[in-house]
Order: sequence, then structure tokens, then C-alpha cells
Amino acid sequence: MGGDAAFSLALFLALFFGIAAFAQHRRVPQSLWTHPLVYALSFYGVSGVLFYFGLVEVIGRYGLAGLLGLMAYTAVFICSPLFLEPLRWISRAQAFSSIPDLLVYRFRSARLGQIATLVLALSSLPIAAAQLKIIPDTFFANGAIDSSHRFTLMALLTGVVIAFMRLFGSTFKLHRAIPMVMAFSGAIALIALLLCGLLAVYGVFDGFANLNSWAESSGQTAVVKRFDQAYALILLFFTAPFILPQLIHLQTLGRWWPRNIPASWMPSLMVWLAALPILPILWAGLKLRADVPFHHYVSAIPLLLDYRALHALTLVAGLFVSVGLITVMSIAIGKLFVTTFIAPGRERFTDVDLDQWLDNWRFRAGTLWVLAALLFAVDIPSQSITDLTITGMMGLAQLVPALMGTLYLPRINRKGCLAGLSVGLGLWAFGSLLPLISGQGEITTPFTGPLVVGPANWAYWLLESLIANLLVTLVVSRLTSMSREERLYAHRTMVDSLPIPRRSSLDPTTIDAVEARLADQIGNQAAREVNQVIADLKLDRNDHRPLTLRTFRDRLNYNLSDKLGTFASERVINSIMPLGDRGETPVDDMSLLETRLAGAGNAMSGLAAELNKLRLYHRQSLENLPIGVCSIARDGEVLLWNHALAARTGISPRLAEGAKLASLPEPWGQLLLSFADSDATHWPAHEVPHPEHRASSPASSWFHLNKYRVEESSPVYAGNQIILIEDISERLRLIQELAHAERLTSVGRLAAGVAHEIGNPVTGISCLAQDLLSESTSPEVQQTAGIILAQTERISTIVRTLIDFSRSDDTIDHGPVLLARPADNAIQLLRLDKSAKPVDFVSAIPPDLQVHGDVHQLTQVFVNLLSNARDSSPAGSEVRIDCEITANGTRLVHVSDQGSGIPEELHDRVLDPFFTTKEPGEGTGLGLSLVYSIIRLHRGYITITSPLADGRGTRMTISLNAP
Amino acid sequence: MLNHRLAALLVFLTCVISPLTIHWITTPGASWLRPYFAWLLVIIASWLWQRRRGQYGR
Repeated sequence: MGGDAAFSLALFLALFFGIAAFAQHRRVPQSLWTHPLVYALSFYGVSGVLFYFGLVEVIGRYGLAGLLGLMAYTAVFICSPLFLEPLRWISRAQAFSSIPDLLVYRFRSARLGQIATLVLALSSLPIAAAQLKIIPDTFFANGAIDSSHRFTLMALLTGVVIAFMRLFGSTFKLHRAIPMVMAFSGAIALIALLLCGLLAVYGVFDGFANLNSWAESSGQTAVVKRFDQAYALILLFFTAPFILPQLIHLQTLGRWWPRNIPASWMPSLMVWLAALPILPILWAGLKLRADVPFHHYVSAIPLLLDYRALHALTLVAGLFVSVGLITVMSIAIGKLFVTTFIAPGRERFTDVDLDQWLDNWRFRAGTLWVLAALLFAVDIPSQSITDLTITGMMGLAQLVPALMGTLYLPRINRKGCLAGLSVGLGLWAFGSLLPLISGQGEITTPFTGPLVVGPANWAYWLLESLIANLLVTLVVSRLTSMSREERLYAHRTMVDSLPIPRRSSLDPTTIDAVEARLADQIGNQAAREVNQVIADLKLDRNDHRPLTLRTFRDRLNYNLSDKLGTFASERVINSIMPLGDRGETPVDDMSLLETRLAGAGNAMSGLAAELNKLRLYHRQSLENLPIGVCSIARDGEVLLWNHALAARTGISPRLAEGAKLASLPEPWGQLLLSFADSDATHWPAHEVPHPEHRASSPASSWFHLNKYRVEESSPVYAGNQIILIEDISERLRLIQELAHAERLTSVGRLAAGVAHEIGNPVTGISCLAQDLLSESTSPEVQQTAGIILAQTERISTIVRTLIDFSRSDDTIDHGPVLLARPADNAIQLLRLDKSAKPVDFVSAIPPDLQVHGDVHQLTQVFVNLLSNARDSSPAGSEVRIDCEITANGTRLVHVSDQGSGIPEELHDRVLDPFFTTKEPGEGTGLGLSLVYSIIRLHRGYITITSPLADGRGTRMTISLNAP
Repeated sequence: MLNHRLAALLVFLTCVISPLTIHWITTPGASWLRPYFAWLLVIIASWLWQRRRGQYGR
């Protein structure tokens, strides 16, 4: 082997395995290997030798029509919203990662997937043969090896592919290794082509001016301006990215490249850069009269001009491109055989380590295929990489009608697909594949006359085979019936469809139970798969909501289908988490539908986008309504739980949505379930106890409940209910306060009248009793007169209190008051009453603390509060007055005692006039009512906390404003 | 999900612009670089469109 060739081969081997090992051991940052530029370069890198060595042959043979073909090859990326994004969308929604998997899913036929795999494997053989043959041919053309070593070199390259698969065969490792190796391959190929182009311009033509004048004078500019094969080339190259196994595999690594959407123009730029130097290279080769075929010009020109380093670079790039394509293709086809043949043929995977088992089978299948490619390359006489690649792509293109049917034609069925595919493949094999092996020939038919059979007439056979394929597919589909299941899945894979998931009951109902069942199917791998899904979706293992389980099921199916294929994955999933129909009408899963619509926002335009905006507006309106709203499915699952309801109930939408009503925390779960089940559409003023009631908060709240039930006119959603929950606690409190104030007002008016009417006769009785006391000498009379006087004094006290009460809303003299003053006055007054129970009054009010109020009224407040506290306290106990200042300056005055406390049920009544718990004659029941009236006039409020601790004590808190 | 607006625009451009572009490229005496310019314009337009799409989320 010549020096350049040996050096190139050694350098290639070192770089090929070195970069893969470097990437595999995670020395490449995530941001690099997922970068769009890496994707674009790797896309170019796996495009094969046709896009490197073969570009000169394509443009040399077909002129600018070849350039149009190259443009078409990248059009699918330029128009990614039309082609790639819908495919990506369906892939995500329906869990498939290859064309055969998609066909299995769409046509509900494992056999169709197997046939598609065979078509892909068979059609890829000429493409792989082109990669294997080009390197030995180039080495031979450059004189590096003699003819007898061609097979040895091809076998060596095949061995490199097999070794790469063995060393980096794990699917997970390949996620990093393949993109990096292929990106390097693309980069080095581009550099080699561009340098070769510069050499052609400046090394052969001495600049662009001479190049142009030579091209004009030799007529080459006119020669290349031809488009006779343009249509066939555009058709063939446009469909290639959809069906070439290595491209599909590259795109579905890690389930579609994570960041390729923002840079889908980049692949086109890469091919543009590759195509740019091709005409100068072609013309340089023609000018130099290079005695080699077009596809050797790239390596021959540097050699002819004695640029050895560039020559070596072109060889290394060629090795990278050819071996890289076969490697990725082998891995992709190995995986296809596993997902369509091996995995569906096995019932359970409990006795194997699933990942290891899959890797082993992928390796075996990939190795067998690449060995078949080697045999094909040895046997086939054709030396043209263009002929070989085009023949292979023609075979792959036979899957296009089935793919079109999947994405655009819901009436196409499995029988039509199989018939069309058979006819198309037959014509392709007859017109292109077999002549490639046996040599070109000619036939004569009554309809067409003499026809060339072989690569020279490939455009004719491409169009004929595709048209026949499509027509037979359409006609047979029209004449035959399709099953209900097939019809359902046909609509799910339409390119403009939004597959609406069905909401069905699932069994089992916990993730742990799913894991146990999955272990019965895939053994030890179950725990890894379940943990992977939990990590992917950031789930809580103890979250048992039906929605969570449905999401879990979808994701598990998605992950498993990538490993086992659609058929085996669906079988496993249906056995461990069967969808329960239970004879019910299937209903749409609104929650998952919302999620998918949210993810499809970018894909919509026009009317759909406007409708989506309207949907979002209504959704946000519902979520942000100040009234609680929840939507309930007819099976009791919560579909919507808005923010206001979350605030009222303390149950977040994330916990409520997707859960069954009955599983919600009490009291809400049972309450809403009862209301949903009842015939009533309205529950007015319903009391809901607080589940964690504290002494400082109300024991319950009050709600109005209203509901609307979706009627039968909307059959899919019939039975669903919208429940409105309005918190009326504050409104009820205001109403009660208003009623209380009105009651006080009426009592005040009554008191004034009574005081007036009773005061006068009592005064008369009192005067007469005093007269009787002073004038009578009889002890009995004096005793009786004394009793009368005492009783009239008592009546007078009551009357004075009534008068005070009735005047409590009179105009008072408000102003700054030192709060300690009325408190101290009250304590002094109460200490004068020696007959009362001895308690220790303690005031902790700061001496300089001021409030806005009336000192006399406030003294009255303190007298009443302290006397009540004293009456209820045990002798010798302490009655305290404390004060705190809130953030907004409000003064809160607490009067606390250590008495027996006030029962909770009496809290609302103690402020009512004439309500007392004291013995008859010991209290009027007006003290606290008076306090309430005065505090309200001070724009404050009063609250009662009782008992305080150990079931004893009361704290009356009044609020007063700062001056 | 098919973007119908974009699909219609693509069909329109293919029908109207393609023949004109091919005529422009094949004019006798025209530079051999013309098809590359045309292709580069498509790439730049795609870049601008995707940049705008990323910016406005459409």
C-alpha cells in the first residue's frame, strides 16, 4: 500500500475510534454534542460518498439538474414545519422511532413492519456497496494498491464497522459517540472539498477569471445548464431524508434530536458548501485530462498537482464518510430487525437482561447485514457510486406511497399498501436492481416499444415503479375494506390531526403495582424503566391520580417502543396496564389534550392558531376567576381546578386535576362528590368546617355551590359537570354585623323610652320610700322602706345603664388619648369596690402610647371589660391588659383573665344586648354590648379568644386606631 | 399538524418563482455561480424565517 494511503488509513482508524471513545466517556459537554451545528455536520457526514466523491459525478453527469437534486435533498429541513415537525409530532404522540414502526402502528400489522424492514435492508445494500467499493477503487486509481487487494481493503473496512458496533454498541453510548464521529466526518469532508476546490481554482486555473474564461471557451458553462433528469432527481433526493435508514436513525437518536428545530437551515448550508467547489473540481479534472472516472477527481487532483497532504486529507475524509455511513446504517438496520422480527417473536423478557439482550441482537443483525453488503459489493460489477446509490434510493422510495398514505390518506389500508409495495418493488428489481448485477439490457413491450433496463434508464423505472406502486395502493385500498381499528389509527397518524387520547380507567392504580407487573414481562429491567419514566416526567411515585397513571403509561410505551418496537411495546403495555372500557362511551382526555395543544402551539397557523388563542384566553379566564371553579368528568375525575378554588381549599390544581373527587382531602372531596351526585343544581349557604381549625380563626366557612351539567347534545362530554363554589363567609359576617347593629339600635331606642317611662315613677317611689324611712319609727316599716329604696336604687342603676347604652352612638369627642389613662382610671374605679372579688389588675400599656378616641368612652370600655374579667376570675388571680401595635399602626388591646372561659358556641352571642351568664340580679347583660357599640364608633372591632390554654381563660381584644 | 398557510405559500413560490429562477440561471452567458446564489438566498430566507419564528414563538 502506498504511503499516502497507508498513512490515511492509519490516521482514519485512530481518529474514528478515538473520537468515539472520547465522546462515549462523556468528555464532550452536552451543549456541544446536542448543538445544531453538530447535527448539521453529522447529517452531512452520514450522507455517504455520493455527497463527497460522488458530487462531481452527479453534476458532471446531470448538470444543474444534479444541483437541484441536492437542493431537494435538504428541502425537507428547510421546510421542516411542513415535513419534519409533523413527523416529530406524530412520533411523540404515537411513540415510534422508525418508518417500519410507524407502518406497524398505522396499519396495525406486524407483518407490514417486517416487510418494510426487509425493503430497507435490501435497498440499502447497493448504497452500502457504493461505500465499500469507492475506497479500494480510489486507492487503486491512485496506485496505492493493486487490484488483488481490493477485497482485502473492503473486508478491512467491514471489520472496522463490526468492531465499532461491538465497542460502542450500546444504544446509550451511541447517543454521544455517533453524532460526534459523524460531525467530525462531515467537517473533515467539507474542509477537504473546499480545499480541493481552492486548489482547482488557483492551482489549475490561476484564479476565477481564468476559470470562467476556460469554462466559457470550452463550452462547459453551457454543458452544465441542463435539466433533463431534474424531475426524477428532485423526486428521488427529496424523499431520501424520510426513508434513508441512517438519516432516520440519526434524527431519532434520543427520540428526535433535541435542538435541531432552530437550525434546520444548517443541513442545507452544509450541502451548499459541499456543492460549491464541485464545478471547479470537475472543470479542473477535465482541463488536467485526469484519466479517472468523475468520482475520483476529488482525490486525483491533489495527487496530480503533488499536494500530498491534501491528497491524504481527501482519503481520510473519504474513509470517514464511507465507513461512517455503513456503521450508522448497520446499527439502524440491526435495530429495525430487532424491533420488527426479534422482539415481537418473544412473549416475555424475564430471563434476560433486556438492554444487554437487545444490544446483542442488534449487533448480530447489524453484523449479518454488513456482511451481506460486503458480499453484494464483491459480486456487483458496477463501479459507479451514483448508479449504486440511486438504485438503492429507488428501492427505498417504494416505501413513500405507504408513508404518504400514513400521513395524508386515511383511506389507504394494509392490503393496498402490501399490493402497491409488491408491484413497485417488482418493477424496481426488474428495471434497476437485477440489471445492476446481471448487466444492462433492453426489452420491448407492446405499449412502450424498446426499453433500456438498467441504471442508464433509472429515471424511467423510478417514475414507473412509483406511479404503479401508488396506483395499485389506491385501487386495492378502494376495493378492499379496512377494519375499525385500522380506520381509527389511520386518523391518528394524519399529518394535520391532533390525536386525542382517550380517558379510560386503568388497572393497576399505583406505580408500584405497575412495576410489579412490568417485572413479570421484562424482568429486572422493570425497575430501570419505571425509574426512567419517573425521572423523565418528574413524577412522584406515590401520586396515584388517574391522570398521572395515564401519563405514566404513555411515557412507558414511548420508552419501550424505542427499544422493543411498536408491536412488542404495545403488547407489554396492554398486558400490564390494560385500558378498561367497561362498556362506557370512550371520552376524550381533556388534560392530556390540553398538554398536547400547548405543545403544538408553534405548529398552528391561521384559523387553528386563532382558535387556540381563544382557547387559551378562555382557559386563563376560568383559571383566574375570583370565584372557585372546578370541572368534573362524569366518572368523577377533576378536569379543572382554578386558582380561586385552590386558595379557598388549600388544594393546588396540580394535586386536584386528574384526581378522583373522592380522593381529594376532606371535607372537600366528600362535599363536592355529594353535590355532584345530587340532583340539586344549587346548594345555598353551605357550611364547610375548617379541617385544621385554630382558636384564632373561624371554625367554618360558608359557600354557595352551583353546578351545570353538560347535556346529551354534546355526547362526548355529556355528564361532565362544572361546579362553581362561591365563598360567602365574609358576606355572611357583614350581614350578621349589620343585623347586630340594627338590633342594638332598636334596643337603644327601646332603652331610651323605657328609661324615661320607668325613671319618673321610680323617682316618685324612691322619694316616698325615703319619706317613709325618715318619718316612720316602726322598725318593720323602716326595714321595708330600706328594701324599697335598695330596689329602687337597683332600678335606677339599670335605667342609667340603659340611658348610657342608648346614648352610646351620640357624638363623642374624638382625639389623641394616652391609652394608659382610661385603663388606669378603670382600674382605680374597680378597686374602690371593696365588696368585689379581690383580683390583681396589671396594665402593661406603655405610658406614652396614644390612640384616637374619647377618654370617657374608653374608660367605660375598660371598666366593663375588667369587671367582666374580674367576675369570671378566681380570687387572687391576675387580669392583664396588654397592648401590641400591628404593622399598619393599629393598636390591639388584650384584656386577659384566668377565668373559666366562654364556651365557643356562645362567642357570637355574648355581644348581644341582655345576654348574660351571670345569676339574675348580678348583671344587666348590657356591658359587652356597650363595649361593642363604643368600639365600633371608634372604627375598631372586638374579638374573643377563649379558652386560651388548658381549657381556661379568656382574651378580649379590641382594636383602636392610631391618632 | 400541517401548517396550511406555509404549504400554500410553498406551492405558490414553487409554481411562480421556480420557472423564473431556472430561466435566470440558464440565460446564455450567465455566471455558473447563479444557481448557488439562488440556493444561498433560500438558505438565508429560511434562517431569517426561523429566527423570526423563534423570536415570536410562531
